[in-house]
Amino acid sequence: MSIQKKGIQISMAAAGRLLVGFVLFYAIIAAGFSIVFLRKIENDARYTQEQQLPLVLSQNRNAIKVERLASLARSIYLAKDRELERQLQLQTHVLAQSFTLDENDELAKGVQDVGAHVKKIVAIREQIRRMDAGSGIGPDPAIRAELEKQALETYQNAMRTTDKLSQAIISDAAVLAYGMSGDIQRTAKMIQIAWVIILTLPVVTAVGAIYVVARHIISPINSAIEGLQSIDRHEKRAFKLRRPLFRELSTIYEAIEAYGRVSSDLLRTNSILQALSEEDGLTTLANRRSFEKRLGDEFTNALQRGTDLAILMVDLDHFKSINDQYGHQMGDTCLKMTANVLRSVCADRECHAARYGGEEFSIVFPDCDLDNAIIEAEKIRLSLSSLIIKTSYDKVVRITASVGVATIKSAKFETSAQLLENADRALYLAKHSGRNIVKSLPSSGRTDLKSITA
Amino acid sequence: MKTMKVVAATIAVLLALVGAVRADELKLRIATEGAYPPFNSLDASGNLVGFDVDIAKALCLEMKATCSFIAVPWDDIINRLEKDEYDLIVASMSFTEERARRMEYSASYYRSHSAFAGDPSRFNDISPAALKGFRIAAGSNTIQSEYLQKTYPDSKIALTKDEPEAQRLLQAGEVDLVLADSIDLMTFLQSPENSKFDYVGDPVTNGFLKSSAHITAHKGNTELIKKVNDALDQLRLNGTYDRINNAYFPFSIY
Repeated sequence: MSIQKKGIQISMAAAGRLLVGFVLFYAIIAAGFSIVFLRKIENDARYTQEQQLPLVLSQNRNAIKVERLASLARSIYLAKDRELERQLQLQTHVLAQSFTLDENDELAKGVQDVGAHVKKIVAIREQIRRMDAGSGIGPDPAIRAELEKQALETYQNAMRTTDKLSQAIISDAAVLAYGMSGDIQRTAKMIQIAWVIILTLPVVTAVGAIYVVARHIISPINSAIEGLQSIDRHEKRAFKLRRPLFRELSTIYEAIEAYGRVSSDLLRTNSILQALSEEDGLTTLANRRSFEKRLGDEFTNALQRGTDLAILMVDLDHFKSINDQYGHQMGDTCLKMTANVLRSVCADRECHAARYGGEEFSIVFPDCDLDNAIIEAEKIRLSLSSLIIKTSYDKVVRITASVGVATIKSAKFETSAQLLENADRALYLAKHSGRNIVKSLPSSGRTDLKSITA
Repeated sequence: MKTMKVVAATIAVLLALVGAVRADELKLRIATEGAYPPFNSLDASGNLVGFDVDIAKALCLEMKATCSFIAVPWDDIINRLEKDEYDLIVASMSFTEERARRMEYSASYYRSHSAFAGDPSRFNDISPAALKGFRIAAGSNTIQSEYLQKTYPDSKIALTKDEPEAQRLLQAGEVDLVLADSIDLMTFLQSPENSKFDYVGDPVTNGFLKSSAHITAHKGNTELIKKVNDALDQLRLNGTYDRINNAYFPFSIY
């Protein structure tokens, strides 16, 4: 297990603070925007209420007044009555002057023109009336017709002017109204876009936060747990932990890594200790304790499978005299050589060799009957007797061994210990038969053996 | 805890007071001149009538106020407001800086301008030079009298207690011209016995003589003025204003 060392890394607390900061910042920005927009709407509404609406209303009022002015002019033209003309003209005068109250010079001027036209019509009519009532000269039809024609022309001029004014006012009002609706539309559009953004951002942020939590917190924690489990299972495979984004998780990873290391160290030490406890220090063959365990296992297997099982007990002859004569070092060498011979036997076929104690060795042959076992025993005996062991003074030392053989099927054994005892007795028989010989007990072994010992 | 109790008690008392004030119906005393037809005048039976009076009544209705009316001579009308004899003046009061220092002004409820009236065969030019030595009448304490005294120092200015008085002087030939509000003059000129008079001179476009009429209240009583303004807006919107306007004038004077 190892952690990649590259890539940026931040602390989870810092990331949290960053997120909170962002949320606050965002809230302020959103609030700011909202306030700005609401202000804008408010201002627009106020502007419309205070500036544009009165303007539209005043245009409307002026349109009605111009209409009224036109109808006054029409009435005056049609009146042909001195008193009525005067009444109407006074009204026209005040009405025309009232236009000067608005700051619209063009309109005021047009209206004054209409006022002048009206005055002229009244003057012409007055002239006609004086002619009609004429003292001395009678009314000249030609002049009268000419005057009437002038009055008509003046009236038509006045009407043209009022029509033009009405037109101008109406289009002004239309332009204003169009502008107002355009302003409202633009603001609405802007607010729509702003709110889409304002509402989208938190969703994106939330999705981003969930992604970060899933990828950089939950997933690393899961791999950490997996790492711990694999350590528990004593798995050897190297497992790669991605370097986490958050520093806190990195600390956890390092702890797991250290734990994994310690754990595997312990495991190794354990296995070494175990090997040491099952091995003979000098020959590195299995020791007596592990041999007996092995024998027990093989004995149970053989009984279950119904196969035969052979054991050989090999004892070096006159070993004490070798020790006495050549020293313990030489004795150890002889033991090591013997172990090598037994080991080579087990390299060729399945068997388990062990140093049983002192100069006594033992071998288990699974699935091996008595005849084969005796053959193997003979091979071992011959191999040992043909060994030439040289001392440091170039003296040659020869060894021989006595071998006791026992198999499960050669008698009836209930435990491996009985089998072992049987092999021991066979060895005893071999020692008493003059050594350097292979012996097994006959099938009625134990009683025979008794008789032998007796 | 003690402070809490005091605060709670104070709040309770304040609420009770607000409730009491709310419960009180708005009562308004309204003054007008009663000598300024067709805006305000006394009819044969002594009742106040006219455009101003109708507007004032409509405002009272709109503000759900109970109103009493009183006719006050123009010269006294501001003084007596200051003596708190009434709450509002609805008397075609035009705006001047000087008056605005003494009273609280509403938004305007009509606009007008001034004009000279006289014998059109005698006068055409109304410049101060042309009117040198002639007698001109105007109501005292009006924007017209102020304007005359300032602009026509070489003319003989006759100040009258009200507009009808000035018009009588013109009829009697005691003055040559009257300077007055054009709408006010129209009513005068329209009556048959005044047919020899007419508006004189070019339309007066002088900014000073353009005027707007307002409702006024005690200096500082902005609360009442706000109510009046809101009610005025309502009259404009619900058509009441136009109905009153049309009863008096052939066109909108707003």
